[in-house]
Amino acid sequence: MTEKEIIQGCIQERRECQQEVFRRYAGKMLAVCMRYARHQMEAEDVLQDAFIKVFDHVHQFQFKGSFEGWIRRIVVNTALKNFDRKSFSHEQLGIEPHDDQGVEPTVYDHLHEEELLALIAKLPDGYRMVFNLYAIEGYSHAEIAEMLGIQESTSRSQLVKARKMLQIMVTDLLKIAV
Amino acid sequence: MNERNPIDDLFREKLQGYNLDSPMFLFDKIAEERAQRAAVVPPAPKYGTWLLLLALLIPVLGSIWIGYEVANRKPRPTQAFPIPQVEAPVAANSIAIPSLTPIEQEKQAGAIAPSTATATIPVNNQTTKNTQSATTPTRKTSEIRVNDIAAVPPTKSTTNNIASEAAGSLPTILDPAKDNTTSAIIEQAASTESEAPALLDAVSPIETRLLLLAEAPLPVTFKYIPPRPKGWRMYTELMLGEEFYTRTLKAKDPDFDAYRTSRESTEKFRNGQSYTVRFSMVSQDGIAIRSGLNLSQFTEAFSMQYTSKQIQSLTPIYGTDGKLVRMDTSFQTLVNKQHANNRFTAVNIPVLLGYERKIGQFTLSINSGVMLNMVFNQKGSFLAPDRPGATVEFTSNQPNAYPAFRNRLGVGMYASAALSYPISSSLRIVAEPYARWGGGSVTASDYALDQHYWSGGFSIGIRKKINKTLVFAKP
Repeated sequence: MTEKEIIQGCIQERRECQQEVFRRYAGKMLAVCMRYARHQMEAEDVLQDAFIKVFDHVHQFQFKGSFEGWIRRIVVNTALKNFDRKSFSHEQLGIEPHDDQGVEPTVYDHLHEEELLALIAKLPDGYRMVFNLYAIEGYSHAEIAEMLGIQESTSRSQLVKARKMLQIMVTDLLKIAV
Repeated sequence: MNERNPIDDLFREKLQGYNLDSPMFLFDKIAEERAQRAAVVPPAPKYGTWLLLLALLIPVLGSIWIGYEVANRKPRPTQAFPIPQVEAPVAANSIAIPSLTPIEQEKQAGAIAPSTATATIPVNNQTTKNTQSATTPTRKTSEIRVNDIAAVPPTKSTTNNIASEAAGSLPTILDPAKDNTTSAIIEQAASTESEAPALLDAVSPIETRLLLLAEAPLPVTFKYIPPRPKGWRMYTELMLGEEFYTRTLKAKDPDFDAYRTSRESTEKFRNGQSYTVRFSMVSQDGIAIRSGLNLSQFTEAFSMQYTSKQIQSLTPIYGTDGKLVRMDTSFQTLVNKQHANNRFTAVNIPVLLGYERKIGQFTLSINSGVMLNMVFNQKGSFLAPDRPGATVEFTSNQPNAYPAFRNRLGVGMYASAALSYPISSSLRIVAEPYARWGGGSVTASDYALDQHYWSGGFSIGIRKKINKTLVFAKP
């Protein structure tokens, strides 16, 4: 079945088509959810809510862009709704000065995806959201500010702090690995 | 690579396309969750929208037609009211004079001069001649009835009476002093005063026969149209109507889109009624002001079914050699159904401005204005916005009711076209299609959805005329 046939099947509420959509995209979307959630169970809850929305609103998909991109936006939005905006105000502390040892980029190749996901999960909620949206999804600070209901300056500062925190954690990880 | 922020590149490259194993066990949960929300309510009937459009169309077309009629209205002719005619006011066959006996003929020939005979029967001198010569009766209206003439004794005072009666029987809208024809009649009648005593004997045989003729009904009729009283005519109206409602739901937050869909699929319009008592004032120009009290009530059916339990059973399949080949899995789903009739009641005060126009026996009126909602009550239940598959009760004045709706709706709009027909001198039967917009959302500000209503309906009722007119004194 082509992707278009599958989508049309989903519009007609055909279970086998819905299952096929889930089989194709759930793994990739779970990885997205893992970046935004604190742990696996929360990621699975977000994924479940997101796919309910996907199947409820699949008739609104206009076949103009990528279906995967459309699902991804729903997943990201669902993940954002899942976290508490107040977390921004409680996450300003906790970053201690750390020597930036200027790790060579090539060293990063040794890091696995699971390790990186684990590092992201260690970030406070606000840092994690902003870092994901800016560094991985490619949103601008203005867009992030609108999506999260925060100031652009807050988004910028959260990103800087998230980077610093991740840099520290990556460096520590590499030290252990060495 | 982004040299300034290599950490960004690291995470993007490694994680953007990262793929985990699909958690297929979640798919069953998703299907179950969606099944709980799914309902088996058939879609709402589509004809409600068409009826609403029709109800809107009638006032619009009616307004255009009345506007066209008013724009092309010609002034009334001044001779619209029947003017007394001297010539041939009666049919020949109806006043044919019986043939006279020879004695009478002789008496008439010898004693009656033509001029005096003419004077004896005022107004009808030529009439009598015409009667004898005419073969085709002509029907014309006249203020002076032959009955009156025949019944009056030919005395001086009588001729005065004839003249005064002739004048008195004229419609009030005519002024005898200004009307030449009428004046001629009166003058002619008055001129006989001096001659009347001398003619009494001569005309008595004819008069005798005219007295007999007076018994017979005459085809000549006098149509008296009373003038309309000045001021505002007043009516009371009692109307009963059947209503159709069209509802729109809109999520205040995209997060509640799924909830909106669930509500749309679990609720449908069933029926609606409207009861109105109205007082109307209508000016001579047809301008109408109406107000009163309206009670509207409509019912929506809430119906849903959800999977309460799913039983999984395994059936071993054995091969011909008796060995287990596979296990077949079957699922049995237990479904619960829930049903409720949600009722909404509104008390409104209509304030309408209209225009009325007579079309033969019918009166067409176009009305539009506002409906001031005073009370909005609800009774029933629907899906809870915050708990998938659960229901909440929103009945007004209940202590634990979910506060989904407002208790007053403010101002709505109303438009109608009405056609009435007289069934007695003071009663008319009225048919009135109408359309109504409920104003703002009927839901509370902190509820997840906005809920708007359009309604259209058809009322029938009785209009009773109040035998009083209201006249506003000019300053």
